[in-house]
Amino acid sequence: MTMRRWFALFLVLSLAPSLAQSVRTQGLGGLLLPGPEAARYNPAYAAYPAGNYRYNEGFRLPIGLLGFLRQSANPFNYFFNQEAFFDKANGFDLLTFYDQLTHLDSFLLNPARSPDEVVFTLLPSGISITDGQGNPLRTSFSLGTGGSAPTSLTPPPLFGVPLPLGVPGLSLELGLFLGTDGLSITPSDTLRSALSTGKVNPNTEYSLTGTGNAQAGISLAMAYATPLPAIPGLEGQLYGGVRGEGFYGLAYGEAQATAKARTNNQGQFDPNATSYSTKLFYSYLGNGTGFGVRADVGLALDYPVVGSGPDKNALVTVGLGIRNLMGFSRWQGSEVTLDSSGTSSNPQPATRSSGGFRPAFYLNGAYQSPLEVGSLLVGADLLVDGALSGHVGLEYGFGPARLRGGVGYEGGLVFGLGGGFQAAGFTIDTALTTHQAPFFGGLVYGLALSLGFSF
Amino acid sequence: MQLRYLFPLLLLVTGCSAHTLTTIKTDIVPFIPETSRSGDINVTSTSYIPSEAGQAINLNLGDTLKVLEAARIKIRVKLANTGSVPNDVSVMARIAPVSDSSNIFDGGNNPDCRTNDCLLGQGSLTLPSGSNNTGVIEIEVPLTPTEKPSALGLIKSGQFRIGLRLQMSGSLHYGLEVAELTVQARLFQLLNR
Repeated sequence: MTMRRWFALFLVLSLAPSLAQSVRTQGLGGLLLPGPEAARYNPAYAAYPAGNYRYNEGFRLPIGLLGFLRQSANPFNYFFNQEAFFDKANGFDLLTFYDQLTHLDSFLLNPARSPDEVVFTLLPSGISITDGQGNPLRTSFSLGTGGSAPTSLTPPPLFGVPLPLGVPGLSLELGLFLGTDGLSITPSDTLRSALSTGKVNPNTEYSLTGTGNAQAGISLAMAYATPLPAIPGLEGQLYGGVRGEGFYGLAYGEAQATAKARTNNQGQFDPNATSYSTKLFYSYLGNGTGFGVRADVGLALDYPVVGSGPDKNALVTVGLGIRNLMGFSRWQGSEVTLDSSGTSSNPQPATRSSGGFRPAFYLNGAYQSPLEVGSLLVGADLLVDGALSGHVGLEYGFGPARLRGGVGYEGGLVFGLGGGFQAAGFTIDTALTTHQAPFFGGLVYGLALSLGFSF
Repeated sequence: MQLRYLFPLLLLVTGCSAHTLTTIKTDIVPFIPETSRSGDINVTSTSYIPSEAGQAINLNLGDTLKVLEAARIKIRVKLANTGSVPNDVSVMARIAPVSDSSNIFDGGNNPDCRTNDCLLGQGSLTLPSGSNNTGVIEIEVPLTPTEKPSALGLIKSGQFRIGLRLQMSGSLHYGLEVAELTVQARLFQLLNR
């Protein structure tokens, strides 16, 4: 396959942007409030009254598309303007492109950028991986579940088609999904130690392994959510939901590359003891098969606060969703290995599967109350999905205006600030968003905007 | 050194951008037989590290060599006067293609390192008499499209021979302390081929 075809394939696979968040959620620092927007994480919210924490936001403008006008984020220059694409000062930067692609709902003010220089030092005086200024670079990195195995916790569908069933609370949705379970780079314990101390030991093997995967398929989700009968002794309204989701796989790819080096008796890297191996697994329609199922459950509780003060109409809501309570995923396809001699093996039949109890938890809660002037809403959420993330946010409303802000942890500290204004026939919301730059860390700032008109 | 085996590692860690310059600093001392890295000389003479034929180096970086932009060779030899009179010492580093003769120190001022052996760099000093008098000769040579471009071209071929010649006026102990090769490339440019 030519380099040009590989690059075209990469573009196709990368067209799986993350699920866009509402501008309100972005302004709250990533906090997802109770309601239908959170139903993917907690099926009980499908039956939850949308009006409780509702805010009528306009159409989210995909202003992140403007980011692709940057020369460093424009992959199409590869086909139409190679001089610009390969420009050594401002040419294409995969990290910038990836960062903008996965945040299409924000125009990134300072998208992630690869370092200008990466220095690998493999000397008896020490080993290190640094940028051009001598600052150590991260050699341990993981996104999502690490991409080392398929999971039944498939990404949210890019396109979903609800199929009417005519039964209250029961829903059926057909969707097309495309995404990755994750990406990881992991140094061996010996390499991790050597990079922290700068010293290598004699007769020791050092290795670095990178893994990643991507999958695409058609999903079919059936969910049932309903208000539950009152429970004696428990005030408030309980909601419950279950969801079963299965998928038929269209394509799955998984790659693992390992580079190894070994030191000799003198603690010097042995020129004859370096090697690498690459293992590729692929399955696509016509070459293999893929399928999976999973079960999700969730509960949510509305607890109205009855008082005599200004908060007499206050509301407290908590919810717990467990996705992939039971799940199974299996792909049959082909495996190819590439060894140090540079030759690749013939494709061999292979299988990738996962299953069992591998739950992802989502806990969230919110409190809203009218104040003497305006209204206040606070909330928090916690997601345990291979990695841990969480957010705390606050929104203050006065008349047609909203001010909001929040902080969170998503592998690093993030925050959001935002505001909204609603007038007759017109709605505008905007947010200053942040997220951690992939791989090299650091805060990336973005702007999000939604507009709504009604006549 | 089969550095090409580090290529996947480089791609994994450096990410991929047209502007990212990847620099690899590596040690070529292990290529040189341990017995040739140091020695004692008791008479006025000439000595070679490792020999007149030099040491063959195989970079084996694969296609990466095609996008190599610059290189740097740094050599440091530690010297100790073991005689009772001042010692004039000089060190010369030369590089040659693999196809060169069995002597890589006979090419004189040949300007094209890709066809015949040529001078990389040299240094000299005078060690005062006495066994405690030590010194260091360091040779650091940048190889770029404008500085010694033919030597850079030779490095880009992935195969070359390199050697040191020591000349002294008296008894001496010497040891090769450092032999570093630094190469720089923008790996992203591989997509452009």
